[in-house]
Amino acid sequence: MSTDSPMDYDHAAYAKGKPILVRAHRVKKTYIRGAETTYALTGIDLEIFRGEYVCVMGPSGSGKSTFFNMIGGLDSPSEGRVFIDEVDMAQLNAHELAFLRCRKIGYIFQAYNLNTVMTALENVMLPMTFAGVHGDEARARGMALLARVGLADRWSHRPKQMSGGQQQRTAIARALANRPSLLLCDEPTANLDFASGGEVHRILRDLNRDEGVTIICATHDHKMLKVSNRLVEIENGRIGRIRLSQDITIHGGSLGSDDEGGDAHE
Amino acid sequence: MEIPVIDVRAQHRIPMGKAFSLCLKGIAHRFLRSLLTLMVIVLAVAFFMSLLCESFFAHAVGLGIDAENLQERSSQRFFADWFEMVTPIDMAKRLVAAASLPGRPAEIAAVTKASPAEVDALIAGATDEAKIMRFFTNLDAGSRAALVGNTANEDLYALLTPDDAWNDFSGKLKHLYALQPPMPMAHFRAVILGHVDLTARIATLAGAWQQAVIGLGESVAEADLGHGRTDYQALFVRGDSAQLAQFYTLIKVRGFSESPDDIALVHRQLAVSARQQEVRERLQSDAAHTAWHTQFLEDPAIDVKMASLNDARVVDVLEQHWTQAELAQVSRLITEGDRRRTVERAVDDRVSQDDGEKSLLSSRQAFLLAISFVVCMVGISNAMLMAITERFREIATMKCLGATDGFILNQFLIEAAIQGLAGGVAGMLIGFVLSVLKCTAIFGTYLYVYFPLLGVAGAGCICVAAGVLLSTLASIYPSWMASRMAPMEAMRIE
Repeated sequence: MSTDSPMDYDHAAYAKGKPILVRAHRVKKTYIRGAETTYALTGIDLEIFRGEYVCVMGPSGSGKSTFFNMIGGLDSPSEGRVFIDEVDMAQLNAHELAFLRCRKIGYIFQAYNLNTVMTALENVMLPMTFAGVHGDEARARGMALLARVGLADRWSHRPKQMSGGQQQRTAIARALANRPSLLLCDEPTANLDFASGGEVHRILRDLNRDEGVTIICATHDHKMLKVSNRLVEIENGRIGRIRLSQDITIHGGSLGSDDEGGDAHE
Repeated sequence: MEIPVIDVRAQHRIPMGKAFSLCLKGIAHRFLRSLLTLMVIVLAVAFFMSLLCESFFAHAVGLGIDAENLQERSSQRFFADWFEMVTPIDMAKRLVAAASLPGRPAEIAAVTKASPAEVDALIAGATDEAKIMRFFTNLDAGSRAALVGNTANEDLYALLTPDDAWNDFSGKLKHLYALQPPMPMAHFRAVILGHVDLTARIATLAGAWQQAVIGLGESVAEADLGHGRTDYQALFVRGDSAQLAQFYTLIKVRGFSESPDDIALVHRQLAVSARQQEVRERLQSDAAHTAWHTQFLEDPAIDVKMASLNDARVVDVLEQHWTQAELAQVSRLITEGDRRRTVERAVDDRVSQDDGEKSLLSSRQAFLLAISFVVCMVGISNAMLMAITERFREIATMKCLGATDGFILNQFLIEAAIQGLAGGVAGMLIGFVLSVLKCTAIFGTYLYVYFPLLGVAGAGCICVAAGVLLSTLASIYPSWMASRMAPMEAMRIE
């Protein structure tokens, strides 16, 4: 860690005894388009521990999405390395990456990204198909997951027949299909109303608390912050600040910081 | 809860059956969208199928009619060969043709009373000359100008006869390496020098032939067939069966042989043409010769008009000469012959014949077909690229969920193949129906009598295969694009 540490807390004490799940080491990403070079990430060092619930914030253009893609194994850094459970993702070939995405990481998208031609159950079962789990086992597991997110009676509905909150819950069930150890959520509540967002929060919190699923969540939703362990703020391609959520005071629906990305849905 | 340590292996491969069912699900829901792509395949395959079917139909009907007309045709040849005036040029052609017809040289020898050896020699000579003529006719303009200037075919022998002209010609020919002389040069020279002699001998043979035919006519006249005429056509039309039998005996004595069945067919045919001629003559000689009359006679389609006999003015004229029954008979005869001739012409138009070699599609049709296939493939590629652009989020999400590049590629190729199959089957059926309708209009019931079931079944299989192949080939690039799509596209918000 550099001397001008962005951490507002005693990291050594916090990290003590916690196994590392994701480690970003001097991650840089530059895009070169013709003569123009864009520095999306200018050097990020971060450790995320098993069972942790981390929120990532940052204005648009800060490199937050790029960073997110890096730790999700969706993009590769120009410099530096990303380790998941001490596996260097740069060392993996396409099939191994697919394996990793399939079983170890669950993705939750802002726009849900459900397959519109499939029913809720079929959507949930899709990652199991990729993992080689078929038939009754997949069906039983899919139904259990839908029940887990409170949609057992909606298993035969297609995405268009469901509300946004129900779609996102289906997406969560799908992300959990292969029992991932890491859940990556990209603004999961940004498209949802207050009540539906609350439902999603509750499910994620329970997953983290009861089942020890590590969650990394890009969000501007302060309710999310309350249940998380740490808050990482990204500014201009680097980490601006890392705080423990318990140190953050939230008042009047905005954060106790200079962050402008308030909660538009409230 | 114990979280397992990450153990990274290669991704599980999805069995083909599972990939197939996943793909079917997508297609079923995107059916309307796929219809557009399908239309392109349907059109191209329908075009292919209709071309193939029409070709098969024309071949089958042509073969059928050929078989039906075999006797009639042979009788026609019989008359053309034996009773028409023969010029030396006709004789030369007949000699060339005789080279490939077993028995014909002997017949020629029998009729003309020339020795078989002489006939053989003339056949060989005429064949050589035909070869030389073909050689000169097939030359490209440049080579021909270089070799013989702008001399016409009939003057070539005269041009090449003098020694110096021949030396000049053979010297030039030697330097045109791409050209093969039609025969060894010494032989070539001999044929050129022998031309005058050969022409004279063929002319003699033609004269002998003519003499023989006239002699036959005289024999017929001597036999007193009742009318004192040597007009064979009149004999056939007017002669009763006893007279005809007498005539057949006569011609057999003279060395001709044709079966009585053939002769009967000849009879019928001549009856038709004689009737037609008669109608024409009656119309021309009619007293009430007016403007419509002239116009009517100048019309090339007059046979058809006469056949229908539905023009009141024609009927008026003819009724003065013939009874109603005779008119009806003429009409029937002409219609029958006319109908068959129309079909034959249609068949000949469709069946491309290159030196007797029959190919399924003409080069022009093949060209059109190739263009339609290229357009079809471009269309499919384009539609497929569009579909992939529209589905980028779905594809990227699948990749996030663990789909490999190969799986995505498979999905799109399977989809393309299924689309190709559907389009191929639909296009095949449409093309079949269209070609049946079209060919029914041309060939009438002949089509159903000689329906080429096997050929059409084969064409159907080929068309469906072509549909699948076209669609799959056209989708290789778009599918590859899809398989290469970055999974992080799933995160993008529109």
